[in-house]
Amino acid sequence: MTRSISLLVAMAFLYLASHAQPVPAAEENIPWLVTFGANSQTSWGDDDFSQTFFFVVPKTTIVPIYIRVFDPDCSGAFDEAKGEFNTVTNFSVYGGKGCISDPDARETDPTGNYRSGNLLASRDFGANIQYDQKWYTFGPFDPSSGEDMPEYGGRVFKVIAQGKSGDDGNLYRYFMSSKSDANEAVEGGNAFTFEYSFRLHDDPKEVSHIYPYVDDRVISVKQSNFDWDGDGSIRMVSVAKQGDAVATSGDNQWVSSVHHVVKQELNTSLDIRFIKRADGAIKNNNVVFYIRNQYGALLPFFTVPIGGVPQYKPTIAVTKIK
Amino acid sequence: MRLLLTRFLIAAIAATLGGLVHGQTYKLKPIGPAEGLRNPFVHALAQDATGRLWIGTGDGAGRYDGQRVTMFTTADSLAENFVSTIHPAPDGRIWFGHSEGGLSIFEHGAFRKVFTGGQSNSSINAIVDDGNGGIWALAQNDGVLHVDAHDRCRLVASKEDILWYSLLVMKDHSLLAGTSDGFHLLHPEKGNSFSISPAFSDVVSAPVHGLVMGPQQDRIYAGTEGEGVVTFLFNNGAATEVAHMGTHTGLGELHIRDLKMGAYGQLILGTFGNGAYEMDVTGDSITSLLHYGAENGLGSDNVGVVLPDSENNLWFGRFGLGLARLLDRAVVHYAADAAAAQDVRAITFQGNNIWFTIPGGILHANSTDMRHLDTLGFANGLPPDDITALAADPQGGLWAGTANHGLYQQDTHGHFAHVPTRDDLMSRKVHALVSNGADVWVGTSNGVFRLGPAGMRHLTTSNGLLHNEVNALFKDEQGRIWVACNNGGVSMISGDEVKSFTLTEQGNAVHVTGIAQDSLGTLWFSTNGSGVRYMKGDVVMGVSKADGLLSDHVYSIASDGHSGIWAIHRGGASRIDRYSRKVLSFTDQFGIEPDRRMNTMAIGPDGNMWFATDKGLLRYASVKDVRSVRAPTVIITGLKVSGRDIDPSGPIVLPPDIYRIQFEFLGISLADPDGVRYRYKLEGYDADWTETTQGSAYYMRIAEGNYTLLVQAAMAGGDFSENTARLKVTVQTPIWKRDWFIALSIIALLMAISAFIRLRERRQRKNRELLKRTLRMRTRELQAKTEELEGKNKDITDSITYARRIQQAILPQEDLLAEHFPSSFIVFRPRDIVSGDFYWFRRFGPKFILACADCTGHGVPGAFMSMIGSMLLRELSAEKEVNSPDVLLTSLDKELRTVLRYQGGDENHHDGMDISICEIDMESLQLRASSAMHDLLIMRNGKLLRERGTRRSIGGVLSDGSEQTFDRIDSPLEPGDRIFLFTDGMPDQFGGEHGKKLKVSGVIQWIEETAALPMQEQATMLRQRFDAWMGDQAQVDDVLLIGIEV
Repeated sequence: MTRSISLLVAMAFLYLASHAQPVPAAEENIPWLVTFGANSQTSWGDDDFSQTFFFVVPKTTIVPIYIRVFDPDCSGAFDEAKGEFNTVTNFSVYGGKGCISDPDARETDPTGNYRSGNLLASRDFGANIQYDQKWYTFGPFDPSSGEDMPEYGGRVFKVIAQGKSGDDGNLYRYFMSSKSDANEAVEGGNAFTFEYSFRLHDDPKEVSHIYPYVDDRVISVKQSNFDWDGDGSIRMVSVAKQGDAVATSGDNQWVSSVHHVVKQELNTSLDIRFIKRADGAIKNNNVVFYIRNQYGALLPFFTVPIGGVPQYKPTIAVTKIK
Repeated sequence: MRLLLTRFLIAAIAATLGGLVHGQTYKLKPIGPAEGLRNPFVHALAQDATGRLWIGTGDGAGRYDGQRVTMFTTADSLAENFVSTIHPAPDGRIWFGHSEGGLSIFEHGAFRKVFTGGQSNSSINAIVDDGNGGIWALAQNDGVLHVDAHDRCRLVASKEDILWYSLLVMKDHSLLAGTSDGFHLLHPEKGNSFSISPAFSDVVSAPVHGLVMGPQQDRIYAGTEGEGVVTFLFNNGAATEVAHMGTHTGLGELHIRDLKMGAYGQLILGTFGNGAYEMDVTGDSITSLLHYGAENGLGSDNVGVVLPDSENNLWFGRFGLGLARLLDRAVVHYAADAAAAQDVRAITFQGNNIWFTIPGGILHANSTDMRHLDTLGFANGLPPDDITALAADPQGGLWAGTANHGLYQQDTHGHFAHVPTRDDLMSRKVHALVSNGADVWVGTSNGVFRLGPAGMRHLTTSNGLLHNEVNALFKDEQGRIWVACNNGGVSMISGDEVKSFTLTEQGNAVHVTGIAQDSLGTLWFSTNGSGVRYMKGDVVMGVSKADGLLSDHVYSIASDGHSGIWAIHRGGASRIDRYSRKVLSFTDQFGIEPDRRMNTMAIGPDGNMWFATDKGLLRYASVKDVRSVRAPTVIITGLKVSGRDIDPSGPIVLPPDIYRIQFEFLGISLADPDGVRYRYKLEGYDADWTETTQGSAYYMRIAEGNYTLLVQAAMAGGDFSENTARLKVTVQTPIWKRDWFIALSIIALLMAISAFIRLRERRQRKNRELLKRTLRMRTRELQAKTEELEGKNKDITDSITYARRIQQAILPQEDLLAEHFPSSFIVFRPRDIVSGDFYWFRRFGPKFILACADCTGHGVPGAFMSMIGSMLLRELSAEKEVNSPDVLLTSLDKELRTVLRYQGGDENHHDGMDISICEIDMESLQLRASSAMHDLLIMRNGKLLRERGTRRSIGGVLSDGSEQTFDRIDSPLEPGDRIFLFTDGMPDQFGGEHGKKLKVSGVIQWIEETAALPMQEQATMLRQRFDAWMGDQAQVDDVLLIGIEV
């Protein structure tokens, strides 16, 4: 697993060198990350009111890095109000030992020592219009402050967004930058998570994607999605799958399905496509998604797919009969 | 046109003021890769007891000695590379906290890890002493760790859901911990644990990254993340007099990452996002504020750590830009870039308010925070003219003097109005203003005006002033006004009285440009061309260029309220120490042009000096002047012995030899490393100190002995440190030169001699024993031999004795001779038992033949030969052919050779005999004699006749082998003739007084001397004489003497 991730990360850096580290990335076509207040109901689309993302900085980086959050407050535009805005969301940045190496940090639920590592910065955001539709910058951070994890390609920082109180949905985005006041990608940086909580487009024509990476030990994967609300279909596309349908959940419901992985799919990314209903009847749909291998280990979703967006390659050539 | 001019001036002022607002610039010295600092992120700073700076980074710990940074990593036994905090302990050890919970100690020149037992794996954010040789360490996620003096580590305080950032030890040994929710009081409990109070959320709820105790040890300052600096008193577990400092000036939301307290009580803040601040504080008030940011020279607004060091340097850990030291931190320069000419000509203070001029206007600010300035210019009623003098009155009013438009006063609305004095050109040229109670004094080119409630009074030379051109005005402690006149001296105005004092130099009046009064009341005068003058009693003293002034042309003078008197020159300033008269010069940034600036200095309420220059405004804080710091600590950094590097950390002991030794040392000055000078002395080698600016000393030939290198350091112009670096070097004495070795050698030598003697004695004893044994053995052998020999000898002796009897039997009886010659004698003394000499006689008819023979040899051989001879004589004499003595001898010779088997030419035999034979015809008394090698003596009538025989022996061999013949003597005898025959025994006998041979002559003498005696008596006498002659001498040969009287 470790070896595989190292390989893929190394491959990815060549690809990412010219890319920024926006989360979600352009390839994902995900409008927002979402975290609800602790007093919210899971039926709104967030199963645990917490989301963890990891940012990787190459070990050679010697410039300060910043982790920027767009629209960190829970008020004003974009955010999902349940009545009056009353939600406080805490954003915390961690580095140091255990930041990701602690097993709890790599799990889906915010339990145990999931806030492992050294807290580098933390801030609560409530209904403060000062930060509405604006970037808030955490940092600067010394790249050395991250946990040195060669298998992930460098030093890893962890950002936890967790609803502390309230019942509203905080919609936000991240950007790892080398500037405090602008989004300038950290060269060679990347971001990933093991559980994605995000908002779907309302436009049924928009298809969102996430890209779990399949290493060479994977035989099968088990996808789990929460609160899909029956909003269309979720399909699994890969170099060997043209679009396998995966089991989809209803409201406030976890649903899983197992999918076999063929040889051609090893060391490639899968493309999980979230295809909304054509009638566009469901708005503000939030969904949670993760995927495990046959051992139960979570697969990382790199915001920029390792090896690029997978393209289906049929094994049987079809020749048009003239 | 007037409107255009007005707009232009407003625009000019606005541009100028804007420039000045942002014109506060600082110079910094960066410390980065060029100096060896590998990582640009600095997380910790500390200064050790030697003055060296320790730098914590993500790639290890750096040590900066003023020249370069030496990095230490896990390869040097650091627990981790990421150093999050550094704490120099009082015992000299330096503690390092790491980002993953590790701890390291630097002591005795090396690092070692502290075993923490995995108590924490989160960042160690603070370390403080526990007072017992251990430390309290703050682990961010876990709480307080205690490491005792024996390095035993355990967690003594923890609390869920808070993070721990900073730590402060209170007087009662409790701890105040800055946390993510403010701060908590940790009270010591039994069992080396702490009770943790709830957070003091009413005081501060933001994370507290820095806690320091104020200089009075009562007020605490907390640097927070989002609430700026919060200060409070803390007693009995309660915080009182809480204040958030600087909230009205925008400091309330600072994201403070580090908070330190400087040497004189100022707070130093490092922030993320806002750079760094230096606050002079009094209680909860900020009395002065300096900001260091990206825009004014710091280069970054992210300062993770700050440090004021022991030299008053200020260090900034710029996040991502490495370390930087503020240069010349005593001076703050408020100026824009050179393009904007900000010629400041006058300054005045009222409380914290400062006013200073710029071209076309006046700026006003709170001197404690120069970030915000008010502008006063043409729009406020000031004329389009240079402002030359300012004075603020106690009522808050501001007075401004102009170059050509007279005096202006600001009203309560901030508007300036012209104050008329005299409407003449010279009176409108204002040079000086001074406020004195309700009055304002105005110095002009036309004397002095006093304006006040009592109206205006104009004083000129007609009233006693020395000169109408007034350069400066000064109010002394008694309220008197002193007037510095352009030519001649000073005038003093007290009430209505004017007194003038002429100052001269070599008879010429000097130009007084300024007046000041020090804290002891002494008046000081600056002059243009004559240096500085001051009153000492009634005597005027001077300080000139010869005393260290930059120049004798001084344009302004002021006291700093302490011991310093400042004098302004063209291009610089001088500060005179009132007590020592030592002068320090300042040229950098102090240049002032043009010459006539009489109002260029003012002292602020905080004691700082302010200077107006043609390039802006300067603030000088003497307490921050690094030139006042002590001499640097000096350390010995290297030792090279005959080209080989040796660790100089301890006493050096070198084996015996002659060495080249190079010492390297370093005076730790972080502010001015190039300004350090040294003196050193190698005790045991040098008699005196050697001064140098190089950090090394070289010795060519260091032989055995004990040496101590002493090194002291000093800053340029300063005194050498009393703290002396020492390094003992011992070159061992060769063993053979050491006392103990010499003593041992002597002892060993003595022992060796003793052993030798004993050995020799033992050998000698052994030899003696051996000899004794040998001797005994030899003695026994000898005894045996002796006994054997004695036996044999006895046998031989017996045989010889018996042989003597035989020989005696062969020899004719002596009395038989008497029968033929009654008067005759034979002296016959064999040397041994038997004799080689023999005699023989026989009568044949009338003839009597007598032979006296001496055979070769003596003893037994001689006896044998004598027997042969005797037998042969007996036989031959009986033969008829042998009828004469000579024939007898010839026959004897022949027979003897026959008997002895002699061959002709045989030279190996010597046996034979000497013999004399006499034939006496008893009837005719005819004598015939013949002898071989013998003499014949005939005494007749008292006369002795000596007849020499043939000089050949019997048995001798002729070379031609022919037969020997012998001469014959024929001589008639007379009665009474005495004939003497003798062998060589008597003549050859040694003796007498001198031990010489008697010789034949001696025998003859004896015979002659005794010739008168009868024969028997003569024989007796001759025997006696012979005995006397021989004395103790051994008889050398057989003796035979025969005497007969015919």
